[in-house]
Amino acid sequence: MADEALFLLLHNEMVSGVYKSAEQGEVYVPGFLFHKEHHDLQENGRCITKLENMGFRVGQGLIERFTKDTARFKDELDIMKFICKDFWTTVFKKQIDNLRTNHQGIYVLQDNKFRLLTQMSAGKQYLEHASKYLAFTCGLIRGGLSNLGIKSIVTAEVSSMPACKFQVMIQKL
Amino acid sequence: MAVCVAVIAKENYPLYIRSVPTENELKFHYMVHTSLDVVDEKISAMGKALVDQRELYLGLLYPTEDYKVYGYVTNSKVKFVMVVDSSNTALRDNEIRSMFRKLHNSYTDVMCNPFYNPGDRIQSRAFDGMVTSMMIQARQPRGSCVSWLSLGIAEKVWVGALATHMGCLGLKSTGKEGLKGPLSSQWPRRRD
Repeated sequence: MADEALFLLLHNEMVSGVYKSAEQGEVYVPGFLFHKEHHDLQENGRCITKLENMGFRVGQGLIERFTKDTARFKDELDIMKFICKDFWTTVFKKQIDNLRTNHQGIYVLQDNKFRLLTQMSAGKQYLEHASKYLAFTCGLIRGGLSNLGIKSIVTAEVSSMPACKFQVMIQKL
Repeated sequence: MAVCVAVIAKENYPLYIRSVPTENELKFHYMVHTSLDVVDEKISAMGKALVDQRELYLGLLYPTEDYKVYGYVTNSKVKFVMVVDSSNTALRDNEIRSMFRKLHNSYTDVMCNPFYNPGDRIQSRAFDGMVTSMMIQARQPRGSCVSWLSLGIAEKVWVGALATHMGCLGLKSTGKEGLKGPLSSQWPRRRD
């Protein structure tokens, strides 16, 4: 099928597109410098939310397609294993390297070589920008889980590129 | 051939329900509503090692004197319910299964449609067309015909195809009413 590079390039453009349109839309009074930083933080938060919501909707559709032919899931752990193996393989062509849980609704998915970050330098230079590139994938996981009936909060952290950890907090109703 | 087809969301409200237009369609809505209990029972029974199938198809939910009700639950907890006429030549199990598979495929397409918000009523024409192909074409008394001019272009093509298909059986094609079933506004929208 299509090369992985296509999605990677599209994703990078998407991130920069969202941030660029936020920049163009913003209106701030240049006199107040400390307000600008606050404003920037807010903008950053808004863009990340936008990317996450995009991922959410895509995740819902993807999960519907991928689980069309699979057997019914036994429990939550089964669903998380499906996400780590089949879902991740279909989207990123590799599996999650490590899945940890405390059996009380918190799962940590560790990917040692996250596809969307491999093209960036492996040092500290772009560490702070990495979170922008993880937002879509967080939404993807959250959307997939929500369609399978699990409400969750997904966050991501990068300690050293290109490894990253996704933390999934299941919300019991 | 089904008499009524329904797609129920995981919060148990209908996303799509269509029945063959007869005098009392509420009866079908009621039947689908009561079958939800049976579906829930079957899903929870699967948790225990009783039925180790882990299949999506649930099979015959319950038979009444005139109709049989079949169920199917997807992994995203969306339920498909189909009511079939009992007096019909006994539809084989794998025919029902293939009808559910077609439903599931069309539902997946609807889900991936970026203009569709999950949780809304399904209004896709492609989905409508697929469901029409599975429903019984209600037989109208000879001599009546639907005004050709009242149909839209897509409907005309559809009716034309049906007419040629049924021509050899000597049945009149039904025309428009099979395509726009009444959407249920009587079901309470329960968003839990």
